[in-house]
Amino acid sequence: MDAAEFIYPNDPHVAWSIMIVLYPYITGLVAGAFVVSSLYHVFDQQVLKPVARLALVTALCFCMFATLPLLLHLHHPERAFNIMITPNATSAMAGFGFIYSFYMLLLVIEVWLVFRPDIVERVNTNHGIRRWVYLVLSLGVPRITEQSLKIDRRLIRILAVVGIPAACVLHGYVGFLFGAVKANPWWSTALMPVIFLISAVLSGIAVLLALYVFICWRHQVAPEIECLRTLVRYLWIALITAFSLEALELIHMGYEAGSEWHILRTLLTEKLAVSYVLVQVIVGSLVPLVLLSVAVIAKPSRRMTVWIACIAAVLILVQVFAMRWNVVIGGQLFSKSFRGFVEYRISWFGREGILAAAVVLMLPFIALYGANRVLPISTADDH
Amino acid sequence: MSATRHLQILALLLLLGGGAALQLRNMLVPATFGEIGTYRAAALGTNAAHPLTFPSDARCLKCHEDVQEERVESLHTVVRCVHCHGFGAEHITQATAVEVDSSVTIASAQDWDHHFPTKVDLFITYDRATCLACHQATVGMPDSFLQINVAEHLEDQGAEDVEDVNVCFECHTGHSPGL
Repeated sequence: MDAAEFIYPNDPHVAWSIMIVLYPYITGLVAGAFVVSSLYHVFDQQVLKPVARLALVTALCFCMFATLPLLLHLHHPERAFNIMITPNATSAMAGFGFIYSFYMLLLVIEVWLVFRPDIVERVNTNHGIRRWVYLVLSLGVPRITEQSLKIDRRLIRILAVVGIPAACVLHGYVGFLFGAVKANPWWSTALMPVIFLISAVLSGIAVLLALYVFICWRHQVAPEIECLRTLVRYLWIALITAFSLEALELIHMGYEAGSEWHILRTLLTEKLAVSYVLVQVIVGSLVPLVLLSVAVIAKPSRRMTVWIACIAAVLILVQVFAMRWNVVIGGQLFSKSFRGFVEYRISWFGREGILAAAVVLMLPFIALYGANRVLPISTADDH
Repeated sequence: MSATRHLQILALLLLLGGGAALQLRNMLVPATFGEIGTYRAAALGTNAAHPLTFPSDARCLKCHEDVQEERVESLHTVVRCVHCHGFGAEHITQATAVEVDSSVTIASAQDWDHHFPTKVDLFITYDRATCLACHQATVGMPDSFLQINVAEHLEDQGAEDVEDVNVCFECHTGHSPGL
């Protein structure tokens, strides 16, 4: 049955814009990157050492800007703190401020402990203002002993252990918010937090892979092939899991064929034909699945592995963005009447335009570049 | 030097930061917040103190008990007083003042200006336009709602003066239209 063009008069607009697409995308990258750093710090995956620091700082840099899209979306951003000053205990959304603050604090402390030896070294090798900056960063304790290093390492491990559930809650909560909107059949499913979480891990591994290869290329050094192969394997597993879960959810909806199915089918095959079918499923999931399967099973040469990893990582980053788009924007394209669609028109300029979104996406990378100027984050020193 | 000195400083900073955040929160939370629910309890008083602009039927029927008796059995028992008589805020203010000071006079109802979101405070409408605002046949109205085609209805019922604005009241009254 074709959907008639009948929309309720009170839902002709897409209220949650591209900024609300960016928000779960960025928090997903935070959670995913942190999980990779934990594989090294908690599960002792020594093979991931070349990306362990990068993963942690990447998580921090993205976390710094995770709230920016939300603030840009708010018409009264100055009221944002009310959610923490006078929280409503029964609102999941009120939990975000506390989860985010706790996680940000945890990340800052862990990054500080990981880089303390480097900070201390720079206090002792720099002069003037630079020395003072590093001295402040060392909290006025520019000495390292074996004993203090041992304590720091134990603390890092504890923080990394605590950080895993915190990262999962930070991102799972976003999925929970969408999953709890019972009036929207495209969102309302208990699988939503899990789907968001797995795709977060997927995007986190992908961004690290891409960054690692890029940094190695910039420093003219060859990436550690074992590290790369391990990341590719994790990426492959995460992709299979994420794709299976999303496919399961869709097949389940289609098989149930509830009263809302006709509108969802039209939504996916017509309104989201490009962003869902072409970008998310074919280009973003099936193509990387084939590429990664070749990389994992056939074990091609180093050069070929690097190329495959890079292409797959970039495609997966696009796929996860498309997934967020299809969930957030897609879920608002049909009227609650289930008998008509509305249009989402995005502008280039303005607080919620394409340009602002591009700047928001660029900022974590600029922060990463800046952090790399202050502390040795890039892998060059590890070689 | 202690191997945990840097951690002691960190703990101190966290304590200071946490304390400052709590202090800031205490300063920012409005007085009376949370006494009843997740809102400022004093807001109830602030809202109640706003001038009355949209009276409930109970406020009108306090004095006009006879109207309630008239309409209690009628379909119009669900029609609010303000629909046909305007907001009556000034009228209620005067009526409230009379309770305290009997020398205060209550102004008469004014003529209707034929405009529903009207500036006229209180009016009594003997005008077909009031009835037809709800009962003129309209596409999309449920069939169960009584609707008429004016010309046909007046002809069927044998109205005396079909052009008269008061024509509806030849057969019906507003409070109890007899349907």
